[in-house]
Amino acid sequence: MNRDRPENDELLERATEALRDTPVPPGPPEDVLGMVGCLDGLAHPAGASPVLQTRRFPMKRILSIAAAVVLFLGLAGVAYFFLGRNATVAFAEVQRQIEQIETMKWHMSMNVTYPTQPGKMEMECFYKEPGLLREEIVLATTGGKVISTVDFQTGKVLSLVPAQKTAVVVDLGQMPEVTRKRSKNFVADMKKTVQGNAEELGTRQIQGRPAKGFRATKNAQTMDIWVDPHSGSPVEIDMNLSGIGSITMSDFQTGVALDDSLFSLTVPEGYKQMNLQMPMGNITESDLVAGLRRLAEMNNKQFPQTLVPVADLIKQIKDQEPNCKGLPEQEASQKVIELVTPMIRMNLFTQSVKDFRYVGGGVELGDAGRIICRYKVTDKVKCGGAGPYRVVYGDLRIEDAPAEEPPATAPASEP
Amino acid sequence: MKDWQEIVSRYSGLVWRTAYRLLGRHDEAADCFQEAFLAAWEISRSQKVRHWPALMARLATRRALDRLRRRLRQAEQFREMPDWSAVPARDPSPTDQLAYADLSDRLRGALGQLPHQQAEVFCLRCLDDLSYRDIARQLDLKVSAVSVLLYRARGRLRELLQHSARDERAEVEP
Repeated sequence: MNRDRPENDELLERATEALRDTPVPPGPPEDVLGMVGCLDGLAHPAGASPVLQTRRFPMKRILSIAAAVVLFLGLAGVAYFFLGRNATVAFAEVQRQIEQIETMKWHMSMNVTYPTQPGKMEMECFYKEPGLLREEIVLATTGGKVISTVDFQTGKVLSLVPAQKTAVVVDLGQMPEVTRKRSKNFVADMKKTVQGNAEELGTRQIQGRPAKGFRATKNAQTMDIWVDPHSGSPVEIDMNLSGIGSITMSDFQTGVALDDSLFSLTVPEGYKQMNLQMPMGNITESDLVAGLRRLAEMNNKQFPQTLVPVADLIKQIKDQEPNCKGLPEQEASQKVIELVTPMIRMNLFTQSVKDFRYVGGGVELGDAGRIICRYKVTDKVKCGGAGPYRVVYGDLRIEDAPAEEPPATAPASEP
Repeated sequence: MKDWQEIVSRYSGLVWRTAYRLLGRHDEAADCFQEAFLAAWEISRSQKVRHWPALMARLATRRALDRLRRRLRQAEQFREMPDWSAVPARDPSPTDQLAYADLSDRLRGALGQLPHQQAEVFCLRCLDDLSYRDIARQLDLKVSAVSVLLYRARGRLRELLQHSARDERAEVEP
């Protein structure tokens, strides 16, 4: 048996050692420690446990374009999680109802838990076939709104900031194919999602009423769908955004009458229009390098623990605010766009290659002896070298991984 | 119960380390940290705690393993996503940096597939260095049962690690 082979013993020993010696960053966060420390002082009825607060931090004010950019990424993330699924018989009624959606209204809560820039975004969403989406985002601190409308067929996005009477127009057509695919009509993709296998999750109370749960999983997507146990109509859908946070969709209303004006892409009268150029075509390895460099520079010339573009984008934009003071709005927005573009292009690169793995946490920028990341070359983006694996080092040079020893796929002593 | 603030202050490092090591993610480790202390607080209200470090290690390990399992149920999702949550490397050799992080991930994956008690015993013994007797007390088992569980856990982990290494080699071979 395998377990008796000495090399297996050694493998387990090395794995145990690696896990035991995992570098642990300082922690826990002060607010978490504070909450735990207060447990004993909480007033509570006998027998009842205090409920720890969800970690929630006020989102700093961000420029209007930031909301549009983050919104787009959020949208792409949601779309990504909805791509392609299979289903079971038990799921048939849920599947039927979702497949028949023509119009839908729902509430979406996006919780970013990335430690450097956590925050929560609440939005009301409206969808209408064919491929029209409207999202009304409420900014946590100011209570102000950003309204974004997307026509997935034409690739046009209009974001409005009513308080500032500003309209931002973005053309998704400039995005590379990989992004267009992932941001295309995500309700349609959700319909595909429910066509396959689903695992039952049992029941739980949602807003005081029982809901029956299904977990739909296929390839890169997992989605927990909670439905009314009698009618099968969706009550809540939960998704985890790996390492970034989570999304909860609730308060679904399907088949509601939604006026076309809700999805208008015309800039309303009295609004100042900004057309923003986001060069997103022709993604190459140099975009990965530029994004990594930007990340390290933001982090005192050290590569951060994780690559989380949304959170880092917010941080970048916030940091940029003082530099934008006094500038005309169009110019300020374009400045922000230029700032975040390398990050978005880097993100697109990581989505376009396979088997991307980042291990750069704590590595100094310029350290030629440490690996930052590796990936498998695909035909979706231009990569140099002979492949199939490429490795980026701390000095941002890129080399082919030795063919006989693809990094991070097998321990060094494996034959 | 001892002074709660003192308990938090004394064991927060242990709980944080245990949670982060198993989860490898800051946000999840923070949630696990809260859950472990909340559970400890509830236990301490109803009974006298004789061995706080072992209790805290067990609670943190159990909560972290729960989360690890939940995460592994979504394994396919993580396979195709860019790896946002990779564990930082520690070895000076570039190839080993990745191999080390990879080994940790593979062991996490394997632990998530073990029966819960086996995983718990393995973590408490091999990661937290608890004695057999302390583990037995914490899990309300006989010492002999701890030995058996640990033996089975090791055997199963060897198999799982070996399989994952074989699968990955097959994946990259032309």
